[in-house]
Amino acid sequence: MRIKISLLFALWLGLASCEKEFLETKPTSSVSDQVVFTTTTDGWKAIEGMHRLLYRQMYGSQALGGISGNMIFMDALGEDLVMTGQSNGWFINEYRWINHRLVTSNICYYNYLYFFTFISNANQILAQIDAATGSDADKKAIKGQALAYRSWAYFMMIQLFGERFDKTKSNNGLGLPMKIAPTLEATPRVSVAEIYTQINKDIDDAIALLGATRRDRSHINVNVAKGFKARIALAQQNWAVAAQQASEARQGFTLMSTTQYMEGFNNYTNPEWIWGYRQQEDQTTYFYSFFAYMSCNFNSTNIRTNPKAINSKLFNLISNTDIRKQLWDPTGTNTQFPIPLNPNGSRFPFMNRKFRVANVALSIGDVPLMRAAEMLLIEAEANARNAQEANARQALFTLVRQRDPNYVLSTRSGQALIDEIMMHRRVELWGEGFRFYDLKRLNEPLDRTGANHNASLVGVSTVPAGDIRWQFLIPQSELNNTNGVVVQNPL
Amino acid sequence: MRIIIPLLLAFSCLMPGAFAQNRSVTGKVTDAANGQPLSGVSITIKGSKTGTTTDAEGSFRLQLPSGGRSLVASFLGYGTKDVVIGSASALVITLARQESDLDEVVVVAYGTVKKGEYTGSSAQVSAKDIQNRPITNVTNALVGSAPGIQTTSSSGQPGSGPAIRLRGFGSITASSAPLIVVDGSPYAGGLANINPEDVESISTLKDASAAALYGSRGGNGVIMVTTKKGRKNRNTLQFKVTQGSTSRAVPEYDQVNAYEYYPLMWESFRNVLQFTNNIPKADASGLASGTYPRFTSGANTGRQIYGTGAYDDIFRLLGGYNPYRGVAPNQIVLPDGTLNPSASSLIYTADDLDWFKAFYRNGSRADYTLTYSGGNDKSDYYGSFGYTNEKGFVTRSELGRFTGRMNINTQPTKWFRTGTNLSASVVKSKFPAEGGIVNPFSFARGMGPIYPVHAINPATGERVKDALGNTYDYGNIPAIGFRPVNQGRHAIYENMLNLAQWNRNILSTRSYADIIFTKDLKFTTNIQYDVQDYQEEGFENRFIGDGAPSGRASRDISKTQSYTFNQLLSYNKKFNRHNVGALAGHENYWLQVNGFSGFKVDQLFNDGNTEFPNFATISSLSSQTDFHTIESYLSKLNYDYDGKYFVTGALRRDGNSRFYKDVRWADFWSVGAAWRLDREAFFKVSWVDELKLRGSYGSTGIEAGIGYYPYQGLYALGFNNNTAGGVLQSALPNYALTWEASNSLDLGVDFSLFKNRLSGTIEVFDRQSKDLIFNVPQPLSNGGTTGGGFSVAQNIGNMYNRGIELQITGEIVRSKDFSWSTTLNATHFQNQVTKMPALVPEIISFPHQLKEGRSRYDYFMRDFYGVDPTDGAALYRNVLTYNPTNSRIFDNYQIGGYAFDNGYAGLMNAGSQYGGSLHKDQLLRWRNPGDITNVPRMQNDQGTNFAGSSSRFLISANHSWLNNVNLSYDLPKSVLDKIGSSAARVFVSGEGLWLFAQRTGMLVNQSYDGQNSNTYPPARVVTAGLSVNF
Repeated sequence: MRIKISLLFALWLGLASCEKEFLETKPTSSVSDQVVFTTTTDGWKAIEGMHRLLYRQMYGSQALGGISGNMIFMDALGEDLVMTGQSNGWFINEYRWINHRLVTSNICYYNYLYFFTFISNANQILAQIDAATGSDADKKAIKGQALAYRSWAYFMMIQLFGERFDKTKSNNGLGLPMKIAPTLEATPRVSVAEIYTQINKDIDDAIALLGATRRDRSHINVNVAKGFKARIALAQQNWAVAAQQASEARQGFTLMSTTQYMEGFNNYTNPEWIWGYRQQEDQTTYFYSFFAYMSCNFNSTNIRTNPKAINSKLFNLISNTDIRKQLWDPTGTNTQFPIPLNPNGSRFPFMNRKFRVANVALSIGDVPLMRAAEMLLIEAEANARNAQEANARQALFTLVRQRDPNYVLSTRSGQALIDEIMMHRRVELWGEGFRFYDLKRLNEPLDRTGANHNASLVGVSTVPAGDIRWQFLIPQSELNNTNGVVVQNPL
Repeated sequence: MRIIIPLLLAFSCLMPGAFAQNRSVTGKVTDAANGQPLSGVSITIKGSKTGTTTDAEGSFRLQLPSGGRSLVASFLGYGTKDVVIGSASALVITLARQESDLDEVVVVAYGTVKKGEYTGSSAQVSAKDIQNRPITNVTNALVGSAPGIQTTSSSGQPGSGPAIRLRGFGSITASSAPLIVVDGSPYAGGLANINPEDVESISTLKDASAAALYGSRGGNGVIMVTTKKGRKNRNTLQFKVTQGSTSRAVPEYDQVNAYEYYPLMWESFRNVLQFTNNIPKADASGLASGTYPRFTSGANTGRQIYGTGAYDDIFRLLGGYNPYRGVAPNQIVLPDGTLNPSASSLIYTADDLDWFKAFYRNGSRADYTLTYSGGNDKSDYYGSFGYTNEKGFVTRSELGRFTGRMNINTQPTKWFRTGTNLSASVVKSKFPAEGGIVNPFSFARGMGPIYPVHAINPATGERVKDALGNTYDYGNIPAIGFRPVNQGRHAIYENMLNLAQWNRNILSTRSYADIIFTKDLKFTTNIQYDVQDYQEEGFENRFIGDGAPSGRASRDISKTQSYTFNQLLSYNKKFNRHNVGALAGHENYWLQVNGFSGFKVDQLFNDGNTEFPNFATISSLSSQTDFHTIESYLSKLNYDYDGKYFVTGALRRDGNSRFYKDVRWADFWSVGAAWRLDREAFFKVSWVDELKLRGSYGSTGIEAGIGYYPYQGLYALGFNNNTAGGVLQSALPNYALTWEASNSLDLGVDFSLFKNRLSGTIEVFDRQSKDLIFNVPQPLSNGGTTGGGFSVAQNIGNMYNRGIELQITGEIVRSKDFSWSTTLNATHFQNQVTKMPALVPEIISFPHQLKEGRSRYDYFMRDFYGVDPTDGAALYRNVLTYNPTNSRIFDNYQIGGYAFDNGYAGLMNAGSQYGGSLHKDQLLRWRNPGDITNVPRMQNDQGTNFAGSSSRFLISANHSWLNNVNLSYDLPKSVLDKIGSSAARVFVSGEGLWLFAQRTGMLVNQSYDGQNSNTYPPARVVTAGLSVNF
């Protein structure tokens, strides 16, 4: 009896634990790659994820709050953004032109991997979305955005890692690895020209697929895609295409009022924004945020001790009646400029109040990625460089008149007109991540002399046009991880 | 190589007690083996407390009370013997040497074994070794306890323990930490939850024979903690109290003082002007001092006019802080680089400038434990209650712990036995910030010696109050200055205003039931369930720091639950001279970890309320649940013949949820054998008490530390774009991923000589790891995650750890009142990577390089070979590799090898941070052409070149810890009788007493990778205690 009871007991215990699914586990913070593209509704989530990548803390480095890392790097490398102090060191060695020539630096690693991350996600979507169940309209919109992202990402990178595109030359220098399918092998670099061919093919395909409607301004619709096309054409000196696409891109968008101009550049409902992201409170990037470096009023160490200033030489070119002149304080004492409290930030002459956080408790804010003003400036510049000066003056007038009530239609022509347009471009787009790209595409030198750059901080005051330093180095880990399939730029 | 010398002197004092006299009895005690007299043998009259000990001739004399009929003779190592007195007045008592520690029972996987019969390799720490030591985390007892056990130095935060490695490094990517098993089952909590007083033994299983029964989790060895249980007919009640203090064990680096600092930083700036801006040296010196006229308007107001440029001086660059009395700001450093001789006194006191003193305090430690145990023929019990309160030597660092345990076993019938071991702990801790600017250790270390802790107005000498009425200098008060380092921050003040604390509750049960079918056959089922709740609360104030200007609060809550449920059938049979034992069973292991975290900002009221309703805005809110499961079939077999020849075998089959279903199951096994030479008839060496040869070979696995779902291809949630849900590619799949396998060979000799006066073990091991998991980094052009480029976990590496271990215990003094034994242990092991992924044959992760033929932690860095005498530039040549493990490691000291001294490197920064602190060695910098020195010139913008990481900061890792000293005194019987106690002991004990290293301030063995960091330094704990038994 005792033994029988015991055996039954043992048997029961033995059976109790044998469940078929006992060893099958799955995470709760992720979803299996097998189910993401089941339906187009799910596929949309992969697109939204790419939009979110625009404002995400990257690689554990506080400089990299998503695309804002690229934006600040591009201005730090230029002459129009002035660092007022070393602060906690962020962006200083970029400002000094050291890091983009250092194979182990963040600026090289990020500008390469970040954009390839957009490309790899786009490639997955493009490879899988056709098999998903759902409407064709959804599929077109999803594919259109994925293609536009791939085009944009390659364009953002090729301008850094390749030699400057020169329409008059073959552009057969090394560009980037061509990744247009989700494969895992190491892929060698192809020429700059081939990359631009793919960039144009993708953006043309995207424009064909996309319409004007979208969920919100973080999405890429046909306007944004045309804006990309305009930027690409501008970099390739295809002036007519640039002017045409820029004009089409801004259709339906009006310029902001002078009141709106002073509102802190942090709200994507602004009528002028064609593309931008909306960062909500629980999607914060903390001290990685664009506004943790570029605003005047968020309480970060960087802003307290290195509020960003404008080049005094550029500032002095702005008309006194131009609303934009209100964005910078030439005295460094104007208490109308908000600064961080508790403990107080430092003030410096020419510090900005262009970018402000709405709530000083939070570093978040919407960031403009494409504005109608930029499109007008592309129109003006492309026309001016293409001997369409009347159109150029008119485009410039449309913009500047909105900023400065005393502005009258320009009477300049030739280089003087181009210079005037470029001055307005520098002022209008200050801090929005264009300056290094502009200097490089125009084959101009860097010249920080005669302005308020701090001699003990700036490191590099001039760089001649065409210098080898205009080309970023490929990050060392790419050379390592591809076992030499990807090769380095000239050192 | 590690050699371990436990500096533990145990004094035991036995004093004869007073007794009622009747008739006297005398006698002599001798060794049964050789007839030699035994001194120090305890002789008591059975049934009373009266007794004495034998003298040097082995003789004793006792007054026998009426009714005294027999004596009890007992002697350490010889056991106890009852002797009937009868009518004899001169007794001859012989005691036989017992097998002593070889009879000691060793806790092994799924059972116990006598040490003398064990075929594997293990090390033991017993309750006796722990009882007097003021350790909060029992892991500290393993430091230096046996060869083959490597440990790091613990942080000074109360409750922290060292990281442990057994026999080298088992893995590169996965975990190298041993499996922790408490009372037979893997433990879900940390060992800091356990009251050291409850620990009966800690058994460290080092080889495959020992660990194979833990299968896929056994590859890094196993640490088995066994708690106490009651003993039949031995009822005890003990109360123990210890009190003591804690302080910093390792001093701070030698840093320059305020007088030395200004000229050094002047030079750092002057050299920028001279070497970077190409300004003639004389002009550069004048500019650095501040002798040039200045702009009075415009963007450059206050800067000096020189040529077309605008230049600061050193006073401005150091933030306008002038600590010297009566010296003008532009005359602090003269243009010849020397401090103005008038700068002979400071406007600050030494305390004003001592940032460490500002947050150090006298720490304390108090520990109270009540234990009781006992039993009868059918049942036994053990119970304890403990309270520990340790206040670290840093403000806001504290641990409070309540523990309770109840272990009850009963066998009500012949065929059924059951028991439950239930323990609960409540642990609360406060801790200083560990990372970022708010880390007070790096903040204080990095602060230049001219910046005061408190805001002192240089004009008036008065302290400046802030809005809260406090007087700290955050470095941006206009009347005082703008400190260039960590301006607007004050880690010490911030830690005072912030809150960082956690509390952890753990409930742990171990229950079993034995069904005894026959004398030989038994069925056992064990069920273990651990639940750990953890809640961490953070608050950052709105006045200063990362929480400013709005205040913010965080909560991290987790719950970890695990069970192990097994069913075991065991058979033991002895026939003739054959002994056979067999075990077969099935087991399920299940782990669930729930996490919940939230973060809110924008504090409503600054009234001490740090709960979420007092904050307006949610910054993040998340939760997750993870599972890990293992299902196993296991068996083991033991056989011995006549107590001379031993053979063991073990086999375990594990299915593990971390791997894809097609590769989820694998077998792990071991075989072992031992030969007791001393028991052979032909072996007749009188001075050898014990000689055993043993060997084992087997295979175990490593699966921890690679995430719960390493094979799965995933898209990460949490990529919502505003209000729309979003996902992003987060992991590439590898369905072939499986365990790391470790095949270990162990050969050893255990011996005991000269009546156990000298005993020890010598063994060699060869641990071959294969299929090591590498997260093979993918081309960046294939994309990645927010953490970096993709990598795919693949089983592609091989590595070995080979070594020799030695442990010798000598009983130096064995006398009546005093015994002293000491143990030496030594380990030498070699670690080498023998196969790397083809795609990435070298992986460089500063300061290391992984490469075939090199060790796991080889240093790889620029080779600094000196300073160019012509211009003071640092000279580097090829990158070189330094082997950190080519060293001999002794219990608490190490000879050979290198350490990378990060702390020192940070202080030898060539002046690259204005306002940052400097090491005294910086005074030896190059100054003028022709100077021969090994410290490059100071130059603010040359930190990377002149102070960057290189072999310059490698230093000999020779070091020695004086880790533990304790003295105890057993109170004499006369005192015990008065207080009605059966035994009582007073003791003083110290932990972490002194580190002897190659550089003052350097912490050598903080981590296995050979680097140190600016964190909570180890604590020195000195306590006195009393334990009383009733």
